[in-house]
Amino acid sequence: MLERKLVSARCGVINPMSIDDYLAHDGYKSLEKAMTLTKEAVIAEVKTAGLRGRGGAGFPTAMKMASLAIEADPEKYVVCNADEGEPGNFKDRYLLENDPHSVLEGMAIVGYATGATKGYIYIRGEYDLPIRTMRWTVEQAGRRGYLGRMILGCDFTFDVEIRSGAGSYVCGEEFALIESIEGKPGRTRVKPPFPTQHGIFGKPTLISNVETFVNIPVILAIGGSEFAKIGTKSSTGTKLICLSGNLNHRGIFEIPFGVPIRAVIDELGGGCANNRKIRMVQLGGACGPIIPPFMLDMTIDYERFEEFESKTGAGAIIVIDDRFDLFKILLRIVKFFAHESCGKCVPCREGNAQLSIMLEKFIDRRATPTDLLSLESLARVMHQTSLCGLGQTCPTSIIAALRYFREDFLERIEYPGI
Amino acid sequence: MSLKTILSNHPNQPDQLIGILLELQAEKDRSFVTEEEAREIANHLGVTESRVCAVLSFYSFFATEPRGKHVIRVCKDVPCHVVDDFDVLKTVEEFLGVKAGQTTANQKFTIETSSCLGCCDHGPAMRIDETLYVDLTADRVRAIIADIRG
Repeated sequence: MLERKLVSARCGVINPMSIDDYLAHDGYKSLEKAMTLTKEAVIAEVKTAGLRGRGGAGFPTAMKMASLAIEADPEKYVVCNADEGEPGNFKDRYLLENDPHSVLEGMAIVGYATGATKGYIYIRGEYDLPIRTMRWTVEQAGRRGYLGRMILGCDFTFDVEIRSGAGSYVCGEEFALIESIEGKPGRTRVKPPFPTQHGIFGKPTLISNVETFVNIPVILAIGGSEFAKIGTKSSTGTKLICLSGNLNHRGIFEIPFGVPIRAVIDELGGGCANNRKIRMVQLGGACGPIIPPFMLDMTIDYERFEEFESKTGAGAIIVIDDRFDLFKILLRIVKFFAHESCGKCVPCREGNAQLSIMLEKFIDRRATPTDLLSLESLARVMHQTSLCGLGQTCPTSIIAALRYFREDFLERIEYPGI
Repeated sequence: MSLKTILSNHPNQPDQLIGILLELQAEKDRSFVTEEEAREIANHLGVTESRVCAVLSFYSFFATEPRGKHVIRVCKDVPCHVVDDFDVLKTVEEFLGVKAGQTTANQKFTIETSSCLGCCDHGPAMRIDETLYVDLTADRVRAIIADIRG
């Protein structure tokens, strides 16, 4: 058995619309436990657990919590980033729809530990059902005293508000998300200052992914040191993996870190559909690397993913079979980013337009050796000079393809005069 | 619900802008925002009209030109693309006789493309208004639209 259900243990087991069902399955027990501890002790527990953000960047969660906790401003915010727009990812939807109270419980614990009194859940506008589910869940939790004033009879106030996106991928980037909550176009900001210093309405703000928040009650329940025993040394705990593409079984699976990608594809995904061969696999989502089948023995953990110079731990595995052309897939990805770029910085806004022109040359076999060099150089420049994570990671698929599918590029080049 | 009612349901703060625009569009038959409405919202919230226009043009859900009564959004990203054996978009376009970005002559449907809808394990997928349709086949696409058309 590859699977290990910690954060998704209640999914499909409880009725997500019933707080009683949640309570019957140890719901809100971790919040109760957290509130018997000091704020410092809660953060220490998360630190011992070694929890890193599950939205892709993998930042240590305890460090974020500590940075928010030391801010003296009495007005602080906790934001749950549910703007899950990365193609190939649907794990946050799964958690929001199937175990909504656990998201609130995680946020309330973080609120308690950091001194924040207000939370926002920013859910992408396309997620109609999660938005409806979370609105209902917040109302129920408030009525039962798990949100609002004097939570569990203690001097702790924490409210949560649901905000809907309106169709913009970049709003998953933390500063774009902050701008969007403030009622503006989702264009990122220059950092520092970081959100924990200067976030929503200029106030200290902690932003984390849905899955990260759901890990917090788990850590409180089993203890940080037990949690740290799961997974690998640098990547503790479990990861929700979203399998999609040409597989026999697509879906959400929870595995401990350290499992090889091939095992996930073969054992959980049932292998490539229709007895075809895998041509390539994209990891993490549109912003992740595309790798050939021979690399599938690499394990799923933060360290291995960082080798691609892209922080792509979001958990998508998109399997693409041998009917598809690498360059057409790359072009589709670049067009996605060209549409979703906020336009604030030049490398991302202009770079994606140029990348698509160059890729079209490779598709039409009109590329010259100079085009290959330009493509390589532009992808690097975008990665190094873009303002936010979108621009920095959008050429990852191309950078990886240039490394692992080099022959395909060379084979498409026209040599003038030959 | 009129714009006035929507405005009165929201606190008078600039951060309410996106929520107000979403509610207003959902109330309207042709899901778009007029210049007059943009001005009224700007005045009410105490923000500039250009701020309202910037938000309207930035987010793909908003439109300033009338759309059809129903907006069909077809996912065009890689996880849906690689399992789309019959071409959802083409099927929709041929069935309705208009292209993506256009509205049918009877103003009933607008076709748009969409970024990932977050149901990649059940692709190919499309979203019509606030409903998600997954595991599509060509016949199912036609049946769904015919059903809405009535």
